[in-house]
Amino acid sequence: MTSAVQKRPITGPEPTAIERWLRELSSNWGGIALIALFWEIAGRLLNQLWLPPFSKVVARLWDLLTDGTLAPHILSSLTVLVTGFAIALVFGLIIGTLMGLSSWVNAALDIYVNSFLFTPGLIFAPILFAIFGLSDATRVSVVVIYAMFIIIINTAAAVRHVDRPLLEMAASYGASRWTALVRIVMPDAFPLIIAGIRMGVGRAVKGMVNGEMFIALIGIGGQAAKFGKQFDFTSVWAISVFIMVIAVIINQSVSRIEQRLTRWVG
Amino acid sequence: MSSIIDIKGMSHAYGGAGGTLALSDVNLEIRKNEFVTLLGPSGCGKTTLMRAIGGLVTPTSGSVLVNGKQVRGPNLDCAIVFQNFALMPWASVLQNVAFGLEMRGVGKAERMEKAREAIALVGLRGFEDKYPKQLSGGMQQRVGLARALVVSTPIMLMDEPFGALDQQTRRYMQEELLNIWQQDQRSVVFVTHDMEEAILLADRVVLMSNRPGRIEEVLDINFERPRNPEEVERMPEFIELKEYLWNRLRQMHEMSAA
Amino acid sequence: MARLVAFIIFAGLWEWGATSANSILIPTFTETAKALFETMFVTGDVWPALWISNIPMLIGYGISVAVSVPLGLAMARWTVADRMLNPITALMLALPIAPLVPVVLVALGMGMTPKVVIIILFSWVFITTNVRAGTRQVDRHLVEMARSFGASEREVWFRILIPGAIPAVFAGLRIGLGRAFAGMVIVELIMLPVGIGAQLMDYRGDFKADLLYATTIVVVMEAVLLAIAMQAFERHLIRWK
Repeated sequence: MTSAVQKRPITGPEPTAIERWLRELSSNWGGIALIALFWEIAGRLLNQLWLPPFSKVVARLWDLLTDGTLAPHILSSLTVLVTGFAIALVFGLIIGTLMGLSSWVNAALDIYVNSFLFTPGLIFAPILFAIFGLSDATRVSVVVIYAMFIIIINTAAAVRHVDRPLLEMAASYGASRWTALVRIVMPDAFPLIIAGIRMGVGRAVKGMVNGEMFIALIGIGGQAAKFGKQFDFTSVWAISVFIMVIAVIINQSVSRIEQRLTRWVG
Repeated sequence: MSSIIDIKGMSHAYGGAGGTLALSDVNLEIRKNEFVTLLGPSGCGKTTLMRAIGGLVTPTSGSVLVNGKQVRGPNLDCAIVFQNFALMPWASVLQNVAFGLEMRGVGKAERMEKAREAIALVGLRGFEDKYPKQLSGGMQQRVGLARALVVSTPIMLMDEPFGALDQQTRRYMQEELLNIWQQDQRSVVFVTHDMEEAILLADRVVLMSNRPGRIEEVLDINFERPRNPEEVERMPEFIELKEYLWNRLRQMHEMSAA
Repeated sequence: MARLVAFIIFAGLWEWGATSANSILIPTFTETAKALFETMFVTGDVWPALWISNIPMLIGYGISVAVSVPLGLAMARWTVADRMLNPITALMLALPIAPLVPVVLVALGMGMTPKVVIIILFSWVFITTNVRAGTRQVDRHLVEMARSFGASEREVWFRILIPGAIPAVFAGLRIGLGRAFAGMVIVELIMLPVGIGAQLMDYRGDFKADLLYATTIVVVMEAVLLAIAMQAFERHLIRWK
């Protein structure tokens, strides 16, 4: 009780979500600008091949984006990302729901699901590469392995821990099992499922980059690997910064959607 | 008649001067071994007043003297019983009760012995090695009470200690607190929003009003001690007092709602 | 029971699928099981490779823990530290480490150091942010309680903040270990084929599919064992929850 009172500002209305977000952003932006400045100075002073100044990295990123070097690779990466994530989403939700509803399915699969969750997905890349070769299927399946299991785990947990009194309430009003699943279990499990999907998106991006680094031929990750082997570190940094920005944008958008969809949670 | 707590012209604003005024010009003296309850609607600053005595809040203006000395920082003449129990979940009942003694540098053997005695006093013998999560709410607050009793301070501060408990448990705790206090007297400042509780326990009820918090009235409660709550509650004077307080509180509510 | 049935179905499907695919790149279940047994107990080929991979992982993880836990605690307790480090952790959480592996290699040369540094880069920020978040959740009322009974700052740390933060610290350590392990695998697969990574690539190149699968399974088993060990340790330490 007291903590809530003291955390709030003394007077004035509660800040809106946007204001809070702006404040957070600006408080971090100052620091980020400092880091960029520090990077610039360190890059100029050290004069090392592996640490080009920040301004050169930004300029190189601009070149790569405008001269058409990166465009086809970005397209290719995003295709792989979306395809892989869609597959992970569909199977993740189905398997997760089944595991949540049936203790039998859960007992049958939990060892495998957890093993995949604990294991770095890239370890399967050599096997996948052996099976699918250079086709997109290799990259897509790496993305699936990265993203699917966290979705399964969260969906299963959410469905399993559905609010019992709510289920009893539904039954007392004569809801069938199917109605209870659609009207009670799924909405109740929704926030946790969405959280799993959000984590799945983050992992999918990692899977995409790592898978492409492994194959080292196509996609943004492939380009990064190529430049790395050529000792073109300005380009490596440029692509890393680019991936970071993309990851942040995707992450922010998904979080925003998540907040919007789960406003009722409170 | 010696006063142990002396509050003079105390005001307090959260967020420093210019912030929200929580307490305005409070004057109050509390005698040695006196049982005082602070009663009032939420937002009247009764908890702030109590915390100022304990040194957890430094007043924006005015002074709080305990034993004639200005309170600065946590006041070790006070032991606090917290509303939310404030038990360390990772420590056993025994370790929780012994915490205050440990902070005062009491040796291990002595503090364990004293803690065991206090645990027995609040009726928790046999639960020494349990963790707080394994106890009911009433039992958890007994641990909090034992922790405050065992440091033997001249003042005990209680912040709506039974507010989170159910009706029946609350009654047991009130009886027990009266018994313990009867045997082992000290000054008690007890914050509550429950009128019956305030009358039942107190030598004096300090009635406070909100926005900003100030003292409205101080009532002497003269029921004979030791008190039996059930008997006291049936007395016409008790019912009269309750009605009076009820009306005062309702007036305040209407004033602040208007 | 369900597990056994599921395993039999799984093994049967694999056996049947691999037999009908009849590809040099897809071993059957029995072939893989045989290779697994051989590489673990007959030839023992997997152990030296696993050892080579694990040394930098363990060193890097150790350093990472030693640095990141105090950082997280400091961020949780002091606003100044939080302000200073927040932009760095925010950037590091988003920064992809894998593409930067060659940068670290050129900066630090060959040998053990770059690998250790990469493992640290992979794991530290996850430990720090978890410790910070968990320590901030320690009940503030307990800090107040301790102060009211006369606890000093040092006592508040050792009696309230640190015990209260232990669940969060362990969650951070567990996640950090997973990240360090991932770092080890990723470095070896994309840049520095030594240890287990080199072995996997060799088996793939030589079309020894059974050994490729078996060695992958060994790595999975290590990851799972590490996770289980961490969880057991964690449960043991925080019985009070």
